[in-house]
Amino acid sequence: MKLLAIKKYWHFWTMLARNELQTSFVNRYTNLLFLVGKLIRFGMGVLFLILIKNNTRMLGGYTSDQAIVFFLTYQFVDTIVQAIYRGAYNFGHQVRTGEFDLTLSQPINSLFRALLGKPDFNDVAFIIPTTVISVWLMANLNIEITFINFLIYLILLINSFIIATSLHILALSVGILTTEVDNLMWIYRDISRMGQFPVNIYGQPLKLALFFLIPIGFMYTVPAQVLLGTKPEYLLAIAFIISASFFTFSIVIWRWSLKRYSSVGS
Amino acid sequence: MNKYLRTVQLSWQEGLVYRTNLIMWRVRQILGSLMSLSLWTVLFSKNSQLFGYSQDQMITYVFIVALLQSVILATALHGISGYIYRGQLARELLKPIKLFTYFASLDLADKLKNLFFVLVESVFLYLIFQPVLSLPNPIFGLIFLIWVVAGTIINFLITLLFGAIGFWSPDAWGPKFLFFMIVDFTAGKLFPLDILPKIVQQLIYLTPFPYLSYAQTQLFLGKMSNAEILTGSLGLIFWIFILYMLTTRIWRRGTKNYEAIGN
Amino acid sequence: MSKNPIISVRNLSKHYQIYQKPPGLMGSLKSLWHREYKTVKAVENISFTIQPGEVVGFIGQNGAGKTTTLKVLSGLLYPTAGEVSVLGFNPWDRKNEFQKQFALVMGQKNQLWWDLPAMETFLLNQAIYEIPDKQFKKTLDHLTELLSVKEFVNVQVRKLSLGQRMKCELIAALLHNPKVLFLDEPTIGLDVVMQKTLREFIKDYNKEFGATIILTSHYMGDVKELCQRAIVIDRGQIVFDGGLQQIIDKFAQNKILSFSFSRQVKKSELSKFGRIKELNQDGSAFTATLLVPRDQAGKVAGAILSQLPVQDLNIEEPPIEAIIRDLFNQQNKSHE
Repeated sequence: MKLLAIKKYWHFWTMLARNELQTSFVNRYTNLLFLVGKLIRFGMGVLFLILIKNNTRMLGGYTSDQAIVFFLTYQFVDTIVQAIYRGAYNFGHQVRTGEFDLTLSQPINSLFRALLGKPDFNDVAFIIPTTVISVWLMANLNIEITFINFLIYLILLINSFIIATSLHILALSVGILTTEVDNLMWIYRDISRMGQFPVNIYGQPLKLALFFLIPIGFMYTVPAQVLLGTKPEYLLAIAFIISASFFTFSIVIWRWSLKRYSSVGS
Repeated sequence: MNKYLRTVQLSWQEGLVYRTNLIMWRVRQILGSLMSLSLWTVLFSKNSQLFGYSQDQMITYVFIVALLQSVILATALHGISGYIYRGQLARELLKPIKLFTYFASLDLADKLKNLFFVLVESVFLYLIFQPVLSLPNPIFGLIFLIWVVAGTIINFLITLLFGAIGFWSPDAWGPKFLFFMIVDFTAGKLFPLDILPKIVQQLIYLTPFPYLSYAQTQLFLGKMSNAEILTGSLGLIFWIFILYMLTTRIWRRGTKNYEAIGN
Repeated sequence: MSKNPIISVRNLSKHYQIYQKPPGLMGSLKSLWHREYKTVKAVENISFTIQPGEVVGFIGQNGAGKTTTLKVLSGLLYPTAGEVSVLGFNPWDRKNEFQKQFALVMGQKNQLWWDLPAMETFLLNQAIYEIPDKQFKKTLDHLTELLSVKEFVNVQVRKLSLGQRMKCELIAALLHNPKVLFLDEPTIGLDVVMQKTLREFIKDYNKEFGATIILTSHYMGDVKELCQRAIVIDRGQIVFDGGLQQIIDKFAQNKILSFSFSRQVKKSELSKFGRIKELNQDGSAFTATLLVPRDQAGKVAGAILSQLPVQDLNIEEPPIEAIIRDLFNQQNKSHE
């Protein structure tokens, strides 16, 4: 029974992806400009860190070489999250126009549709060259990466993805009730961007908030710390506890919001 | 005159009603400033001079850029191209006040709102970071204000240019996104342009981008020689002139098309 | 011979809390920390049953509760009180088996992807409703035939005309052969030709597929054309439930008598017979229209025929629009 459901949703998602791919091709000039803009943003970040590297050795307790790893980790995770969850940026529009009501009346999970309904191929096109550049950069930096650290890093990246999922679900839950989800998504992105540098450069209580309120510290900083073989800010176990609790909490809030929407209407 | 004041007042009130949007926008701005200020504070803890800046100068830079972004770059006119494309411009064309003046008053209202808030935020950030702000002497201050007005005009004209896209295409977001990325690069809160190699700076000075915030900050921080102030002023005048010609021409062509189709 | 109803509603009530914002700048500021709520009774204790295959129209003014009722029936809203059963399910459980058997079409809301051919959306819906390939193809062919859009399903939706788009939206909604169809203001925003096309289609669809159809509208034209039965809702309550002819019999106050005369007739000559609605006494034709209470229509007609030079006479029911309008005016008055 569960397997059938997984098959159905996978099949449905691949169809959505195919449609999105076709749509992005129809709008290819706009998408090209977006891609170029994103590449400029990426290049700007790398350039900045290289310039820092050439002028100063230390950034918040890390060498400037190490700082680049934090930046690249942020880029990688943030881009994948955007690619898959681009639907969340469209959700406000769906609620406002009543399209969400339509999807509620259809035999497909509304959260699935809201979150995963618009895979973004522009980000896919972006992530390929930038990952290649990232790997090349890291190979040429003055850092030491062991195999075991790399494995734990990958596990932590999956953990980061779960935290990101939870934050998106929370934003959508607010979006059902207030239609302010667009602004929330942008604030999430701005907060996320603070994670392009090691989060310990921020003073308290901001730093605490960035670990336990909007856990970008666990999403970006801790994995990078592990990869570099430096001491992680908090025990790794806490990273997993955070993702599990945030995820559970987000599902509870989503269900509650949906119930409230169904009793209050639009 | 009353018409314009009323437009400004209504827009202000509307801003207050959509309070969540404005607050969210300001929160985003604060986050950007926090990120930048934290970063530079940490960097300067190990260095007294970086890229030709002292810590005070760099912190001042971030504060000034935050201010300038609210005055020069903030705009309420993002929706123009969609407005035009959906045929809603026809109503405005019939209004007695001239179109550009109408847009300008909307823009001004938005900038005033943003200015108010950025001043409040700056006080708040000042209390956290306790910088020693380096201020210019009065003459430079005056030129600075003139340059800020000039930069505002340039951005206004560029915004109208993007708006004009709506005469021909529904989607202006591609070019706008690219524009914002470049602006972020040249007038960003994260770093001043002059940390980049000289050749890059010279290339960028061939475009109007540095006149949107960067040139003004350099003037404020006293990093411009008198010769540079002169060339800078000429550059501002040049770009205002070119953009004005371009914008009015394109709008004229666009509105003619528009009326012909019978929108 | 009452079969099991496909839709059954008992004592349904739906109340909302509405937040009231005071006007002006002071109001906006005040509402930053204190809000006042008011309870709105959108639907209050309504009951009805619908048999399979019926086409029922919900008529009412804006805000009367028609859309709310429809949303409860389709599972989008929980009721405040009462019992609802559609196809044997509680709609708001939103069970998959339930959702696969009905369709909701709301005004001009779109589900077609703008930059792609309608076919892509159809295939997507096939996946959502898990329609087997054979059945999908058969239904698609039948529907595209019925609406004559076969050549357009592979054209980008943005290139279609409004009418073609509307037809494709309908097809997208009906691919899964729903047993129950909820239509919320289906003809809103359409021109006369498209309204006609849509109404014909709904009639045909009901005949060919036997689907139960509920539509809400404030256009009487929709109801007149399509519905054998009308439920009139006002202020959240059912004011009338029955056949259209019964509405006329029960609520129509007057009949319309239309005359054309061979010579000019003065106003004073006519006014004693009834209320004059229209009088054209210039040019080549001399016509008049009177409103006469129903029970006197025959007598008055006879009187006019005998006293005035009548060339032509027509006796009609007033349009349902007028009847309903009068009904609501009465209701409004009695609530003042």
